[in-house]
Amino acid sequence: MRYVSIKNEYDLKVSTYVTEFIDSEYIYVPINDFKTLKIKSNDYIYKEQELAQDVYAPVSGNILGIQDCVDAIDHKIQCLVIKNDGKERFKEVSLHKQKFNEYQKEEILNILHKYNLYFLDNIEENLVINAIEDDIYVANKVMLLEKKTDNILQTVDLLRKTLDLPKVYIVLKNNDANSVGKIINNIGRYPQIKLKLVPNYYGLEDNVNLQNFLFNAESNYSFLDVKDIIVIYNLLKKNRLTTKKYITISGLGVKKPKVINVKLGTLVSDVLKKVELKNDQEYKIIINGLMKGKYLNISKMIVTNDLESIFLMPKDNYLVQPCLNCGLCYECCPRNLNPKYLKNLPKIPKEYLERCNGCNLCSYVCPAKINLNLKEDC
Amino acid sequence: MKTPYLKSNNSYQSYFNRYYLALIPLIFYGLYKNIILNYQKASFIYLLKPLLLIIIGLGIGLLVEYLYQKFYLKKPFKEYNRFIPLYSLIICMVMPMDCNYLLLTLILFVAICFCKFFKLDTKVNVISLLLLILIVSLNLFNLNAYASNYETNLSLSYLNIFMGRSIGGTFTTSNFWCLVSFIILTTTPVYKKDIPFYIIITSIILMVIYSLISYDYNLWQLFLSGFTIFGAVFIAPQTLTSSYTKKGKIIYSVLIALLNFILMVFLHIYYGIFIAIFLVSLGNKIFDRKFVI
Repeated sequence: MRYVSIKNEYDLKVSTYVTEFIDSEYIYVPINDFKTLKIKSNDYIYKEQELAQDVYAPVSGNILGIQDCVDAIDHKIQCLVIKNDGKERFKEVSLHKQKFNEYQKEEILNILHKYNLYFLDNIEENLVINAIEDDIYVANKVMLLEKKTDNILQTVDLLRKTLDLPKVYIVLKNNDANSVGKIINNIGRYPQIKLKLVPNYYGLEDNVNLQNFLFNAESNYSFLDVKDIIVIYNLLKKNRLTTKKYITISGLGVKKPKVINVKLGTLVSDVLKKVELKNDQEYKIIINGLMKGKYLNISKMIVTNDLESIFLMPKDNYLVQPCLNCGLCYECCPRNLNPKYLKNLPKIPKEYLERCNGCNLCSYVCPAKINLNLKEDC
Repeated sequence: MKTPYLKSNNSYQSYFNRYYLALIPLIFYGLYKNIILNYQKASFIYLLKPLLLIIIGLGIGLLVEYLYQKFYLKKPFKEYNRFIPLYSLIICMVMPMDCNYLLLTLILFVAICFCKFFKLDTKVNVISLLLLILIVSLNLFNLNAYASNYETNLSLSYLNIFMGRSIGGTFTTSNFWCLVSFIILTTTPVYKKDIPFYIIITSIILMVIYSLISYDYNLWQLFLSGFTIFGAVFIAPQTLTSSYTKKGKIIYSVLIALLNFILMVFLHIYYGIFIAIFLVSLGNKIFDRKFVI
């Protein structure tokens, strides 16, 4: 397999600080099953109050009603609208019951299960914390590492001790100078945690690809995202759910690209008001990066867990030409698929569709600029 | 937006630019060998012949493309397929300096038109096919002498032959510059560098085995002065008609080397590589089909 680095053609460096945006006037909470709803219109709700089964309020305020919204992959969702009072009131103040490093394995699992989080249940012998961001202009994980280094290392060390893991690695790209520096400065206090640096290759954000790159496919490694570590930290340390997330807002249409810490359920159009936009030409909005992202209409879009970035870019203009039969798509595919062959089949077998992770590397390297993404047809 | 917003530097244009760039060392060496070295001996008109070959090569390719766009597709001549001018340039580089230029122009024009209008370039290796047609037809008329009028010293050392002093195509005698061109071409990921590599390695292995068994070292002269390395670097890896899977490329290359070796041993022909490439390119899709996923 040929590893590919994405060329850095735009100067889109994000500012070094994170902008906070937690006081949006309205918050939209997606509800899957309205039968399980536990509140009524006009009710006052507290932060983290259970609104429906497994749905918790990210803010305190009044319930206004139900509205149709869309998520970051353009799926229509029905949401409860909360008028945010900006006070972040809790019904009951629940402090953590013990010191952070006194937790036992069962206690940690029970706390996570309470919120339907099961990612620690099947941890193998060795744990890898994946802090790699594939999209070169997205800086969410980099910022998270920089701003919350100590919390992350503390949590990883706790997991290592309680789950009895012989090896724990934090994996970073070697070109993320700031976060690498920050981790190196702090990791000395946790001698059991190892830092692994990987080259700036595209596709390593995916755990399967990372495992193939670092170890072999059969080795016993479990992977956690650095964002999962923050979720665990908040639950164990503060007994709180994570109700905010980092989003990168960037692109040629943005004067100063930045990372914003925003409440889940905020309208994307409100988030965009937090950045200075350029008006020199028409810009299109691309959701979730310049490699995997799509042009989407954001008028009803809300911030959900699958929203990572918003880019404002001029419309792209390229000429699609006939296939050159060069085989680059096949050579570069991190999942060893043959996009050129599969794309020409009348129906792509399910087995291969499942193997494709939609990374778009095949379309990126194609000299004829053909769309080879198998997921695009689904 | 169907493809990623970001695009790699790989493009048709970069691929063709690299191909033309890789041909430059060979063109310069050909001009040096056929013009500068012959300056004292030949007439001025004779010295213009190598340049004429380049002009015919590029000219016919562009003319056929122009006619195809203008009269067949009825489109303005802006974005055109650069394969055909490249093909005809490579073909003319292989031609000897003393061939009949009128016949060459006519045959090349008709053959390229035929390939273009019947879209043969996606089915077989057009360069090797056209070269075989030209070599056979020029030989039929006895107008194809690879030694130019001024090449009298035909007993050269292996190093001289490797560097390009031997008789052969006007611009293709230097194996050294072919290898330099190969290095230039490997800088574009679109170029299938495994194919020339496997062809050359397999050929050398076969030649060594043959030399050790038969004590016949003349084959090395044929290997170095023929078109094997030029064909392996410029003609065999043509993307449209060569294999693209890893194993497919190995089978494609080994078969070409093997066939070329057989033709060299049994028929002593210097253009065996063109026959080998043409025949093996017919089956490239079969090799790939075995290893598609």
